[in-house]
Amino acid sequence: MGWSVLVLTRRAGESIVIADDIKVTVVSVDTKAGRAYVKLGISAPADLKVFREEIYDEIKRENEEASSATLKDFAALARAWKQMKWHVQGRSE
Amino acid sequence: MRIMCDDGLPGFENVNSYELVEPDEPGPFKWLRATTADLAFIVVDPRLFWPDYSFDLTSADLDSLGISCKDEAAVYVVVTVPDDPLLATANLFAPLVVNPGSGRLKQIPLRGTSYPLSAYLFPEEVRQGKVGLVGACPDAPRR
Repeated sequence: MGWSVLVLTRRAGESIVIADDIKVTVVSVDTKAGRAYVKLGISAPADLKVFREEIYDEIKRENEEASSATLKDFAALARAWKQMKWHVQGRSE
Repeated sequence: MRIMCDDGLPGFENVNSYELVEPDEPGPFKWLRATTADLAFIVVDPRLFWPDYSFDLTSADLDSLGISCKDEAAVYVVVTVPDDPLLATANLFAPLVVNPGSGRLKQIPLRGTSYPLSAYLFPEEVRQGKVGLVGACPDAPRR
């Protein structure tokens, strides 16, 4: 089996098909401030997850930052929550 | 509660066993603490801060958690605390979805939503300190 890399050229409005049920269409190709942008339309079963590649890295970064939380942070959050509730209730009374 | 996270969390793929710890401080926050590593996250039920927060799960997500519909799941979001804890944020884009029966957990990036990776937990008045966090005594009787 293994992996293969297929490189092909498409124009705006043209598509490629992956397996039986995934279609990737080049919607438009634009240049903004000298940089090329390709807009893709992906038609796939609703269960299939399609994300920009950076998304996973962003979640990773967010988790890494979150993992440095301390007991002191926790106490501060609990305090702020109490204040917020107090504030919200006070306003609605 | 014992939590099993087969795929780990992004950035911590090798850590698969956690427990959800009820803290001493009263409030909505909990620790998601690794049992095999020195690692812990502050998590919270997002609906306490965003009552309208909702999302759909794919059948693949449901299968891997071992639940049959999303209402069976317990949902938490990971909280990030910067130097000023009032500016804490929560990751609404990739919630932690838990099967409360088995303790199976997955961090699931949501499809087709615009929930942010970092949303301020506290409203602006609290963030800007206008609520008088310093020295205020919430338990004191009010006029």
